[in-house]
Amino acid sequence: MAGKIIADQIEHSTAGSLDTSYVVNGSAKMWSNVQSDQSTQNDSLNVSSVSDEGTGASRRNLTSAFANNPFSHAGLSVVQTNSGGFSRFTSVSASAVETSVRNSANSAHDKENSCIALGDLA
Amino acid sequence: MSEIKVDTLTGKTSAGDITVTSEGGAATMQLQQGLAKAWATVDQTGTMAFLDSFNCASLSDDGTGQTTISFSSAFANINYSVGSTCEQGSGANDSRVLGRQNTTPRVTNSFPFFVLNVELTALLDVDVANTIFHGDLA
Repeated sequence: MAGKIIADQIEHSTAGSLDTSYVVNGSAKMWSNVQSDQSTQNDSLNVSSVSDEGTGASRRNLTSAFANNPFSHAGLSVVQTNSGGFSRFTSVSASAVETSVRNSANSAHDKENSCIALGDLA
Repeated sequence: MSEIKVDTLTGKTSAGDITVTSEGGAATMQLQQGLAKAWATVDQTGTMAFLDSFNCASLSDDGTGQTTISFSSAFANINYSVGSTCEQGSGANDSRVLGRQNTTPRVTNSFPFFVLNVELTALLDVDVANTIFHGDLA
């Protein structure tokens, strides 16, 4: 059986100490990098499946759900320099996030994108 | 209150796998996977500089609005995830976006990005460009 330690604080010999609540609360609970087809995931944490929701849009379904909706999330889309592009990230439920990549003309845009989410898991 | 004083945390069964219990207690997650492996706040104006950073070794000024961050410890693969925001000007009507420069393939030891003024479709230097990276370190 693996060992288990229950502690409220950890301290490094030179780098200082930290309440373990920051480790639990401050860790990303989901991250994902999806290819431009909006359905092929390169790598991820806590994502059970990805579905293509149309041009520039995808949905990440989570393995472990958040305790609340909305939860905090951020992201980035990959576009050619000067072609514009931005992403909208929406937590559609406690167990799914949708991304929408658009160009500077506000048109749906199939581009690689990443997102990260933080918050309390259920 | 319990306290652990330690310099290194290593998984017992698997060195790179330490499990933490979720806030609600219903799930467990791998500690290493949830930790940010690098982050940086960069001032692109004037002489480009880190305002603060973690696991970032250096910056290169690639032109107006364009920067490459080099990591101290490289990722294990090119599939890491990135989050970003940027800050420039005042008020709430400045549309700025940060994206990865897609002129070269992804690499494990650096990340090139650009900041775009959406209305003007022009690159610009911003006061603060924030990035955070998650993935597997080598």
